[in-house]
Amino acid sequence: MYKVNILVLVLISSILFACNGSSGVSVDDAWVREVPEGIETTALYMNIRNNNERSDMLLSVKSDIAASAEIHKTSVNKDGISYMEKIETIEIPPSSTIKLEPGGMHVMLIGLKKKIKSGDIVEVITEFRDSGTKQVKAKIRGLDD
Amino acid sequence: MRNIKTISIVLILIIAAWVLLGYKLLDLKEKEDFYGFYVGKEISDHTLMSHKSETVSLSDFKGELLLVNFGYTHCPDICPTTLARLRKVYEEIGKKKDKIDVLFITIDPERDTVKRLNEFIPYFHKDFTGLTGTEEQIKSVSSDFNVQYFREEIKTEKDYLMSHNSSVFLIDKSGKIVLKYPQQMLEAEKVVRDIKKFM
Repeated sequence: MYKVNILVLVLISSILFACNGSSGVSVDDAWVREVPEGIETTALYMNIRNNNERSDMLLSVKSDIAASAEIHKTSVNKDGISYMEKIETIEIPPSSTIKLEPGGMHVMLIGLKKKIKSGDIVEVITEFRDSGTKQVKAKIRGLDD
Repeated sequence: MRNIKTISIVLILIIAAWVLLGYKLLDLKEKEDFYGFYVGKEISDHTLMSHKSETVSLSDFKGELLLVNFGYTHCPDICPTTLARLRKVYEEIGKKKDKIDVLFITIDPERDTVKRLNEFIPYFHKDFTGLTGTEEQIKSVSSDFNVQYFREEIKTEKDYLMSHNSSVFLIDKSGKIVLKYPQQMLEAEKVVRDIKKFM
């Protein structure tokens, strides 16, 4: 009986591990920059970890708080000019983390529908090529957070 | 007599050369001691409109230090990041922060009206000043700072984006641009160390 229990546990663990392996992309530390009332664009940042052995791809990001969301990359050229490029997708190589952070890749949230306040949590939906959609909670960060 | 005259001229030239060399060495040392990049450029006076709907000239700030940044309020990433860093720099100065002003000059005067700047700038700090003007005024002031900007060809679904220099400039009490910080170099403690040398 004891052996059967262990076998069941091993089986459950294997199934869970297999499930995790097939959708091994995780999104952490998602946050949205607080903006003053009346300003209707902001940026969403996050860390995307791919635990799979093959690369995955971020296809789109959506949030109810904005009319649309676009993936952008800020770069600075040799003359010190900052410019933004629209990116259709972001590749997440196997066993690696891609950071969406200030001054780099970010999701531009366009047409904010409501005031966002430091400390609030907003729902974000990320869509990956292989790992499907993932619902993410993003914290609104103020200037001193 | 003629020899004495020649020797005197040679001596004067040698002394002048040493004075020049000494000045140059001191000057170089001074430049190397800064965290920011030395600029040393005089700027002309420019008159713009503040977010409080007041006419403001750069010459109004003579005798004070200035931190100047160019950007636009529809910018989702770099401009708020820079202003948030400037807030840290300003707070880090502590009690002496009344000796410095922070100016944000828009490079998108078409959309950045006085009203719009008034919604945007005080959020970052109540002491910061947002400035706008006509296309010509903005072109003139940005050119004086050697700041380039242009509309990006790629538009967002709703609006257009701008490319621009995102550096922050430190202006000394005489109205000269002394130092420049690319926005990714805005480490509060190091920038404040520079600022205090000009106070």
